[in-house]
Amino acid sequence: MASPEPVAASSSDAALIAAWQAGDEQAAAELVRRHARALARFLAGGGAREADVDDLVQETFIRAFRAVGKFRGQCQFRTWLLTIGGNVLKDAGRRAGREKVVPLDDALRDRDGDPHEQAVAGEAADRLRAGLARLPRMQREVFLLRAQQGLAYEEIAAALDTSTGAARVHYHHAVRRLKGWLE
Amino acid sequence: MKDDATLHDAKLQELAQRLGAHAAERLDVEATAAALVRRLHEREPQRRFRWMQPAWLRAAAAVLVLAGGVALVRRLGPTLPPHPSHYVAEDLNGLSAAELRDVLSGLDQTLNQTAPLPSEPGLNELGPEQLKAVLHSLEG
Repeated sequence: MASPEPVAASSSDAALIAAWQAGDEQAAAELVRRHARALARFLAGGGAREADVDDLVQETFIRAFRAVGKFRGQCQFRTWLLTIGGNVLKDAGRRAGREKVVPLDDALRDRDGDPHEQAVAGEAADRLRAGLARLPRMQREVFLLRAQQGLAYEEIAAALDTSTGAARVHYHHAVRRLKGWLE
Repeated sequence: MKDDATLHDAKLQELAQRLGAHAAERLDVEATAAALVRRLHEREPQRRFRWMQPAWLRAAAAVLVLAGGVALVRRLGPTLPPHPSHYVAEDLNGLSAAELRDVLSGLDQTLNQTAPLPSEPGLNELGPEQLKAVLHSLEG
């Protein structure tokens, strides 16, 4: 693959995508640097085990780069990437032969011995995680995109190929149910 | 966001934002980027091969269609008349020597157009039995 002039880290996502399509692998690496952590948070929030997050992040980027020709800029690259991450997570769950990627008990057991993490992850956080696992996929993803990633409904709707109103309804349903489980 | 009162539920939002924070911190981004570039390298030849497969299939299909077409044309094309020996064999016994010579002369003309036989003896020199033998040999 030819290596055209490398794209600087200050380039926009669109410029990096174009550079990657032109054969600049460093552009792909830069996109990973920008979005991998947000993706990891989204995947872990969606139920991925911490031990699996690295593989799932890679798989998500691989799929995204292979399908990047279909990305029309209807939303931000990160938002589009997160929705692909949702598909990867779903496929991983299917492969594992369970409805949810990780049951609550496993999620709790999976924590390593980081004292700080354990201190801040109280009972409420555990219940939230369990509640998210019980939500329908659409509600869970809308909730995470809104509450965890801080995206606007318009952005969420564009990424999930739904209407803004529908995204809003999904979010409110998710919040209502989660609050019911948390209280 | 006045219409979004639930978002003001600071506790829920804080909890949501904390989800996955540890996994994100643990992620070695540089290693992930390097691994990804490596995997993209590895997949590139496979992807090229996958793209080649339909081309090979198309070429094979074209050859099959061509061969089938040729076979069909051959079947439906003008058929050759039945071998003349069929008639010769049936009527051979009833022919006189002169008639046998005529038949052989006709065959000779046909055969000589494609494969002339050098130093072939004259038909006039052959007797009826020899002529019949010649005709039988031509039947194959």
